[in-house]
Amino acid sequence: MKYTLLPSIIMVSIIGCQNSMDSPETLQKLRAIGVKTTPHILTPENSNSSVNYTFYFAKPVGSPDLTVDNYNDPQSFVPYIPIDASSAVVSSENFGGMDLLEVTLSGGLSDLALLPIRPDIGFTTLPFGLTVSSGSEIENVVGRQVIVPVGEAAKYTIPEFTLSEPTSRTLSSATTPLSASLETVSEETYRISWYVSSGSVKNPKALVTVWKDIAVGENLLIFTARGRKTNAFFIKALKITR
Amino acid sequence: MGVVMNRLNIILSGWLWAGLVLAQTSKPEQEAAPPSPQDVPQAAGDQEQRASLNISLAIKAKGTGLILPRVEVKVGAETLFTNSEGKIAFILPADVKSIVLYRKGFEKETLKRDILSESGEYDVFLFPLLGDDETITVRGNRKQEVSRKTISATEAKAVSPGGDPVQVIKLLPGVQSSQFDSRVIIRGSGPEDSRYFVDEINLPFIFHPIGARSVVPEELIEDVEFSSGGFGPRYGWATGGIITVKTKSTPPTRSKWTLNVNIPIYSGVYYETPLGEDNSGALSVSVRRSYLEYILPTVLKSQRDDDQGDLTLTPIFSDAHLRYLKTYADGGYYKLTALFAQDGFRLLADAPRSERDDGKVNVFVDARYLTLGVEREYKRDNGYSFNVAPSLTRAIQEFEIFDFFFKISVLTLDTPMSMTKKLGGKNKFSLGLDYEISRVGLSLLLPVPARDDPFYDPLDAPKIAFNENNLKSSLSAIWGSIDYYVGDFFITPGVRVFHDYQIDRSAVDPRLSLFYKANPSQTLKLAYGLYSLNPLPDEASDSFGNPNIDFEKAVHHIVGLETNWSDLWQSDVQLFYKRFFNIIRSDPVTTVDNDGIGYAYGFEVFMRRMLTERFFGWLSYTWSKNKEKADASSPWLNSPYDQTHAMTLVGNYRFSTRWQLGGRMAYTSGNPYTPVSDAVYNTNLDVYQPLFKESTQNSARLPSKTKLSFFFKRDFLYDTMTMALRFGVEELIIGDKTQNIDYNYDYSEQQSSQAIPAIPYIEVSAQL
Repeated sequence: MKYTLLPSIIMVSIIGCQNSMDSPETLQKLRAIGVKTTPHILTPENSNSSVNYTFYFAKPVGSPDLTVDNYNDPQSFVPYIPIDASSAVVSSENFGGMDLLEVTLSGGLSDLALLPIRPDIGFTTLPFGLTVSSGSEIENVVGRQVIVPVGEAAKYTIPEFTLSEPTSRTLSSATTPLSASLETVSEETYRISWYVSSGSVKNPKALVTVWKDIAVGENLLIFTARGRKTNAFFIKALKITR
Repeated sequence: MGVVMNRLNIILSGWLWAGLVLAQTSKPEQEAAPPSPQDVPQAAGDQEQRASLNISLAIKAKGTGLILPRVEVKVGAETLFTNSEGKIAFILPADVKSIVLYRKGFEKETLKRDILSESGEYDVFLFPLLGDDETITVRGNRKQEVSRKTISATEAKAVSPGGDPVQVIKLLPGVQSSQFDSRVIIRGSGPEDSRYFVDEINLPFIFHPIGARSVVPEELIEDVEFSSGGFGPRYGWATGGIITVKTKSTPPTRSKWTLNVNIPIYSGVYYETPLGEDNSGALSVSVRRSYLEYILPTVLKSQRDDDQGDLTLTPIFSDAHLRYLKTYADGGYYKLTALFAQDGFRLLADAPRSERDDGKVNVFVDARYLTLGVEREYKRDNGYSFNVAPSLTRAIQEFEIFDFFFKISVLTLDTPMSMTKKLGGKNKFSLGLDYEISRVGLSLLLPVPARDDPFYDPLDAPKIAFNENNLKSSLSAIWGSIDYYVGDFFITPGVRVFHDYQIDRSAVDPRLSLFYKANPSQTLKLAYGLYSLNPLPDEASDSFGNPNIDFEKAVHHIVGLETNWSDLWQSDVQLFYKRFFNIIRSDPVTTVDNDGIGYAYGFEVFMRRMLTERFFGWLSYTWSKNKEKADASSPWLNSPYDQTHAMTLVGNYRFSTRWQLGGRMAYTSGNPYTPVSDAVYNTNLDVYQPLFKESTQNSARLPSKTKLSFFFKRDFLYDTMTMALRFGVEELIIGDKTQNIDYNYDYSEQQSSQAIPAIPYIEVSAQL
């Protein structure tokens, strides 16, 4: 009965998640949002090509500018996809009190021996990472690129979503429903995330949910979806005024 | 979960009975003196004329209705006694105004003539008294073991958490309780390293993982034996300790019902009755079930803000037993026991890691077993005695979380048998065989480990499915020991030879214990032993584990000094050193290996005030260090079970047969944990993942804790029924209430989660 401990710990950790000191969907400081990779899935044919990365961050207006560095993993026992941090291009768009930043750069696979496809699971992965800081705030962002056999990649398309709620960019109350729907067909499913610059989202991982305690003024609302297997990434940012 | 349930082990009903407490005040209790002639009023010449009456009395004990033979009955100048059935018949002369009833251990009762106003039969109930505080309650004397302690059910019930006798082991030296596990950690050995028995039956678990209470009804328990190390060769496949619940081996003298109502946790009913004309047999049955699943969801919902999301938790536990006991004139007995226990819960909660569209996670956990056991002990005039105790256990454990599930079903036939031969004097030789065969069914859908992924996450990993219903494992052992007395020495050498058929390995574990009676009040004790723990079926599996895996091992070294300061006071001081090797660890290449090593050392002090009818208690203190390392080249690190100080002070005082006060205070060092050194944002999962440094494993420690628990118990004695009202507070934390360390979503901030506040409770039980 050694196995009794595991579910107990899982359950406690789940309950513990409910008591987090802050809401992860509420943007208050430098915060990584996600990474779009092009291509979003690799095959062994890509062994000599490069991958373009767009790292998304939210940052309060007026906080120090971003600095970009390579991520050094002290515990890694597999090679990371080399990314040239010095070539990073940072662009910014303002959404009231928050800026949405895009850090664009590329990584090369030419010096990297792609790991063989694991026969037991049908794919393999390669990690990538980047360290971004704004003053004393540091975000270490990591991800993994999935490599599938030739011909498999076509199964996994980049998703398109439609945001049907809020229906207006201008709100009269502090609460609004949030709703998104998938418009494309793919073999994979997606992880949903809502981010807001004020208030909180009742269930920020659901397609249909509620945004509460919206502050008066301009607010940032971000919707993201990311593939559960690949790096297919969708992002939509809206400026919502109350 | 056990922590939560312990706290919730609170009975909120019974305020009605609180009124009874106030209404029924107890009489001052004194041992009654035999009636003097002055106690017996004589006829008065000026009284009105009365007729003589034919009186028949049946005299019984108040509260139980037990018949009382040899009760002294003063009728005028005449002294009579009740017969073996507690009955007496006499003529009450017209001139006698009252009679006096007296029996040692009971209040003196005077029956006036206006009660005995007519000829006829009367039932009279005498109120029991407490004895003095110097008479020690004597229990059976069992074979000595260096680190074994035996606590009677009477003592255990009076001080244990929730009044559950088996949990008394958590109050003894060498024992730690883990935070989220109802089982115990013994001298640095993990909970799965110890074995739990009811008599000779090995149980999958003896504490409800959910309710934390033991699965054995308290009315069935004679005493609880706990060996924290150095145990003899009779027990194997354990490197920690042995916990044995000894059930009563003597039939009751009358039928008895016990009803426990515990709101909002559970209710239970227990029944026992003697069997046979000579009362040589007995039958007992019990059923207990929780009803938290009906109450807790509502309570949780009312206590949570909308921002905290929805949470539905439906825990459940239940147990039942059936036992037939037959005793024989030679001292032997026959026990047929059936035990069932179940624990589980369903949880539906908002969770950031949810894969569902509604953002929730569904968790289902269930563990249950049914054991059928037969124990027969024969005693022969030629000095031989035999014990055979086969048992069949069906244990099932399953859990579901997210899309994963795991179900293991084990059918085990265990056939321990032993023989003891008296060799002259107190010397004797024991020999035993133990064969255990299991058929294991395993079905699962779990994430595939991906060791090449530095940010491996089980939810993101591919899944593996497995379904096999005919895995087999079997173990066999032969053991022998000699109890040998030489002068002031008592020495017990022994050996256990065993084989695990799954890994096809054999081993030999020598054991030795030695007692030296230095003087009439002091005994020096030594123990040494090698102990082996067989790998679990999945650890030795070709598919999931390593077929070359070996036994885990531990060597126990113990030195102790037992001192009888007086008839009432006893102390036991022990030094221990345990060396662990061949510890099974996960390995990136072979899945698991035997490279882990560790040690634990420390000392224990146990100062005990023996049980009298009024007071008992003890002080238990353990100081220990517990280190481990993953392999020979790794650094020594704190074990997750390292707890430097563990002290418990317990006591119980009976003011009268009606009132008693009990309580305990515990101080423990905080458990170690591994602090988060850094965190990364994983874009694939949209979560922050903590990073830990190997060098800081278990380097931080939660704050130490001081907990206070106390209760008052009031008994209400009716003619053939006793009701008990118990009220108090469990685990009132004094000072720092930190229960665990939590982090915010990106691990940049740390905060402590606080323990649930102690809640007063009231519990009502009835025996009839």
